[in-house]
Amino acid sequence: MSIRMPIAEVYRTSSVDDALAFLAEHPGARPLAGGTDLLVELRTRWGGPLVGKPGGAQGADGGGGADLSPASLLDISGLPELRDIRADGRKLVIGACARVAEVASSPQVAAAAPTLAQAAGSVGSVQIRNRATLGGNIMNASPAADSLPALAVHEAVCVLRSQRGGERRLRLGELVTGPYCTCARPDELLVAVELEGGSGWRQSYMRLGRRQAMTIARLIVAVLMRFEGSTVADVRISAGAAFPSPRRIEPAERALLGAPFSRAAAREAGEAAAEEMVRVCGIRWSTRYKQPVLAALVERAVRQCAAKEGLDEWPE
Amino acid sequence: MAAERVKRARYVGAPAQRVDGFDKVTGRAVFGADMSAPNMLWGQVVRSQHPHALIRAIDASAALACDGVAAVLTASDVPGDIRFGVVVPHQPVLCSDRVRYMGDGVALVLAETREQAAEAARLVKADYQPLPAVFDVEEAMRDGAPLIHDDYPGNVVVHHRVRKGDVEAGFAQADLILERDYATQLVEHAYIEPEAVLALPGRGGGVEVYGSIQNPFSCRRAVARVLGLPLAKVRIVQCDMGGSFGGKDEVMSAMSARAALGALLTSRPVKMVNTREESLVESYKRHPYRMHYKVGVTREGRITAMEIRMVADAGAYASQSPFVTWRSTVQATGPYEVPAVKTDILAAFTNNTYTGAMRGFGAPQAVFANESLMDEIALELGIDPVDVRRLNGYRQGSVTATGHKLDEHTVSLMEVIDRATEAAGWREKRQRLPLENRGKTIVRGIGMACSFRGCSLGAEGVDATGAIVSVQTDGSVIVSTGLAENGQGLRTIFSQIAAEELGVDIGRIVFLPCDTSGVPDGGPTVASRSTIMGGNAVRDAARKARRALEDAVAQELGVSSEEIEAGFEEFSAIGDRTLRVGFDQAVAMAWNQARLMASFGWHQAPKVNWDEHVGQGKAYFTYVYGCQVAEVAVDTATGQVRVERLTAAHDVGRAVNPQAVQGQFYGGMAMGLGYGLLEEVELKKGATRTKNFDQYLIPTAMDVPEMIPIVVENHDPYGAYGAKTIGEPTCEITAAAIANAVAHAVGCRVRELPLDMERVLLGECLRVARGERGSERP
Repeated sequence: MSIRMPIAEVYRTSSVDDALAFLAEHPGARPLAGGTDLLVELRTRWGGPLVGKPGGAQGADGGGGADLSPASLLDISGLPELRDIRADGRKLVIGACARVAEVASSPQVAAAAPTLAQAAGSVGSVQIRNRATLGGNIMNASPAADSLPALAVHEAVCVLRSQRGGERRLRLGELVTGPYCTCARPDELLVAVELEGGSGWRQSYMRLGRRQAMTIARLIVAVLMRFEGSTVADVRISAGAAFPSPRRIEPAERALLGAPFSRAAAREAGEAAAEEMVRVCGIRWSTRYKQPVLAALVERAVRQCAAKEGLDEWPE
Repeated sequence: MAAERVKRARYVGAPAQRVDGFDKVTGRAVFGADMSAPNMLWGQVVRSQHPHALIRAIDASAALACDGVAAVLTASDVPGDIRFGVVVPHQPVLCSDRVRYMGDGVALVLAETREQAAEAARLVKADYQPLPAVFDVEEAMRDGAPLIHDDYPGNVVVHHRVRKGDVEAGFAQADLILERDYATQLVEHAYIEPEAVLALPGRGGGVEVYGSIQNPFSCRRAVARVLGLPLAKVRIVQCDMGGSFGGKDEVMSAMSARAALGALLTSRPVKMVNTREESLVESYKRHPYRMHYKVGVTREGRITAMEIRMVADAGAYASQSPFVTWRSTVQATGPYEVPAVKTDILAAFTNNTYTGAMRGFGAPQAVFANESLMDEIALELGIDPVDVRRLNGYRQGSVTATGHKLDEHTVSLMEVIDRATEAAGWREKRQRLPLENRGKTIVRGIGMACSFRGCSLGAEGVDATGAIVSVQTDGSVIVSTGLAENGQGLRTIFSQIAAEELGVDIGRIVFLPCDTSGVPDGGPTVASRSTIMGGNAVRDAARKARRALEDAVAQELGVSSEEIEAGFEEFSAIGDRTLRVGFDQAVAMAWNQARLMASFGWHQAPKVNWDEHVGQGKAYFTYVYGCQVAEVAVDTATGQVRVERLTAAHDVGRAVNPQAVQGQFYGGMAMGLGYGLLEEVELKKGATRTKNFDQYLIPTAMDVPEMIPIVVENHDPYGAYGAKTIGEPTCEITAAAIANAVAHAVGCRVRELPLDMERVLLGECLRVARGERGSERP
C-alpha cells in the first residue's frame, strides 16, 4: 500500500567519496540510512494521512507549517565502510551506519561502553533496531534519543566529512545544537563516532518510558563513576529528554566529585541535576513531574554505580 | 435430552483448531484492503477543518482539474437521505450544511489512484463559518451552551433513571456515608486493520460492498438509506477482519455508503482505505464517563443505599450512546444487593469525536467506579475487600438494582471470587505485601474486582438470529449465519456446533462469510451474543438437517424415524445395531428421496422487559459473573506501574472451545490493562492529538504479564449447550482490579483512568492537551 511521500529523487551511493560528491552537488539532500526517523518525518510533513487541521491547511502535524517541497535522498545504507565497529586502543570507533542492533550486541561496545550497548538495546523494537543506525540517532538530534546520554558521558567525538572541507571532528555537544538541530553543514556527512572507552568506570543507564518497549523515552539518565576507595575520583552524568541538547550535568557531578560517596551526596546530585534541567529549560507543563523524577533517577543511577563498587545497595 | 447429547459431545467442549487459522497464518485470508476490481477508482474523504461550523460553500473546481480525478461528490449528490444511524438516524454520510466534529466528511474525491485522490482532496475548498463549540460534557449541558443538534435541548442525548426503594431512608440507616468521584477517558479500539471497503455497481441498479465490516446488516441499512435503494438491492459481504472490538459499525456504514455512492454514480468500482491517522480521527471511541457515587453502609459493611450520577460524553452524534449508557444503568451498582438505589445516567453531545460501541459497552466505566468504591468502603471500615464483596454480593435469588430476581441461572459470583482470589494467593499477599513494602521505593500490591454482566442485547431491542446449514450431495456441509466473524472465533465455534449436531467430522464444514443477501438479518454481532444466540440458531439448523437425513435413513431401512439414532459419521437403527448407514450414504439416500437437506435455524432470545421511567425490569435473560485479581509493582519515585500477574475467573456457562475461551481471557485482560494504565485519545479543541500508535500507546508484549485463566462452567438453561458469554466480561474488570492493586501498593487512590505515571506520582494528569479538552480534567 503506497503512501505518497515528498521525495524528488533517491540516489543510492556506492562509496563515501561518491556520497560526498553527491552532497556537494545537492547540498539540501537528506542522507537516508535506516530511515526510521526520516521516512516517518517525510510522511508526517507531507500530511499523507490527510486529516483535518483546525482552521486551516490540511496535513502537516506538529511543528511548523506544511513544507511540501520534495526532498532529495542520498541512500547511504549500503556502505560497508560506514558500518564498522572497532576498538582502536582505548578508543572505540563506530561507523555512522552501524545498525543500532549491531551496537547493542557488539562485544567491543559491551567492553568499552556498556551504557551505550544498553542504550542501543532500548531503542524502539527489534525491527526498528535492525534498521536504525547510530549515526541516524545522533543526526536526528531528538532530545529523547536513546543513545545521546550514553554518548555524552563517553565524551563522544563525531567525525564529519565533506568534499569541500575534508574531515571535521566535533564533540557531541557541539554537533547537536538543539532539538532536532545540528551544526553539520548541508554537504557534510557523519561518518563515524569515536568514544573514549575505559574499564575503570562503573556505569549505569536508566530509561523511563510510558510502556516497556516501543516508546519514546520520558527520561534517560547515564552515569559513569570512577572510585578510589570510597572517594568519587571521577564522575560523568548526562540525561535525555531533559535538555534541548546532549550535555554533561556539571552541577550534579560537582555534588559528588572528590568526596567520599554517600547516599546524601547521591540525593544531592539528583536534586542538582533536576535544578539544572529547570534552569536550562524553564518551567514546562511536564516540570512538576520531571523535576522530582529526574532527581530520583540520577540518585538511583549514582547509587547503582556505587553498588557495583560495593559502596551501596541497589536495587534496594 | 440435552444431558444425553452433552455426554457424547465430540466437538463441543473440546479444543478445536481455528477453521480460518491456516488461511490467516499463510496470508491467504482476504482483508478489505486486499480487494480490488478492474477499472476501480479510489475514494478519498475530505474531512472537516473545524469542530463546529456551517458550510457556506464547497469549491471542487481545483480538485476536478487534477490528473486522474473522475468526480468530487458532496451531500447534494446523495440520492437518498444523507443521514444514517442505528438508534438515531442523524449522522450525515457527507455533511451538507454543518460539521459537528473534526472527523465529519464534507466531500468525496474519486480518482484513478489513491495518490491522485489524496492530492486532489487537498484542493477541495470548503468555506466554513465557525460556530461556537463545546468540548466539555458538563458545559454542554449548561444553559447557553451551543446546541449541537437543534432537536436536543441541553444537548442531552438520553437520561436513564433507576428508582428502587427509599434512598433517604437507606442513607439514614447507614453508619458511614461515602461520596466519591471517578472518571474515565476516551479510548480507541486500536484494531490492527484500519477501515477498508470495495464497492461495486450491482445488478439492477444495486450495489455490492465488500469490506472490514463488523455488522453487515446495520451497514446495509445505512447504505440503502443513503442511496435510496431497497435493502434487497444492497449486498454487503464481510471480508476477513483485522479486529473490530465493537469499532467497525457506524464508521464502516459511513465508509461503505460513501464508496457505494461513488460506485453508483460513476458505474465503476470504488475502493477506500483509511490510513491509521484517518482512522483515529474519524472513528468513534469509548465514552469518557464522569461518575459521582454516594453510598451508605453499616458498620459491618452492608450497603444500605446508593445514589449514582454518571455523565457520558457522546461527542457529535448519538451513535450507540443510548444503549451504552443503558447497560451502565444495570451495572452501576455492581453485583451487589442494594435495597435503595437512585441512578441517573446521562449522555450529552459535544464537538468531540463521537463515541459508540466498544468491547464492554458502558460496563468498564461503571465497573471502574463501583469496584474502586467497594475497596474504599473496605478501607474505611477496616474490612478485607473480598469480605465486603462477599457480604453484599449477589447470591442465588438476589434481586438486582434494576429489579430482576436472579433465579433462572446459577448465580456464581461467590464461586468466581473464591476461585480467583484463592488462585492468586489473596489472603497471604494482602497481609504480607504492606510489610515488605516498608522502606522500599518499589512497592507491590494486590487488588481485585468483579462484575456481573447481562448477556446479549437484553431490553435494548429485538434479539433473534439465524443460521443456514446446507448439506451438499457429496456430504460436505455449508454453514452460514447472520452473525459475523470479527476475529473472536465465531466460525470455529459455529463449525464445532454444526459438526456436533450433525454428528460429522468438522472437516466437512465450510463456513461462508456473512453475506446480507445470503442469510436473513440476524442482528448485529455485538454484546457477546454470538455463541449464546447464534450458537442456538446453528444448533437448530443443524438439528433440522440431521432429522432430514434420519428420515431418509428410516425410509430406506423401513423403520420409523424415532428408531434411528445418529452417531458420529453414521446412523443406526436403535433396535438393530447391525443396520448402520454411513453419513455419505445417508446423504445419497436423502438426495434420491428428493429430500431438502438444507435447513434454516432461528433463535429468539427469551423475553425481557423494562420500565424506563423507574429503570426496573428483567433487563437481560441471563448474566455472567467474573472476578479478576491484579498484582502490581509501583515505582514510587516515577509513578510507573507494572502489572506482574493477572488472575481471572469467569463463568462462561460452558466453554464450547476452551482454547478460544482462554484466548478471550488473554485478549480481554490485555485490553483492560491498556485501559487501566496507558491508553487515552487526547483531543485539543476537538482535534485529535494522538494520531498514530507512536502517541496512542497500547500495551506491547513486554507490558502484558503472566495471566492465569480460570474457566468456570455453570451451564445456563438459555445458552447454546449451556454456553453464555465471554468476549466482553474479561475486558471490563481489569482496569478496576489494577487500580485497586495500585491503591493497595501505594496507600492512596487514583480515581481516574488511565493510571499513567503522572497520575500515580502526583495524583493528577499533567498532559498538555488537558484542560482545553472537554471530558478530561485539567
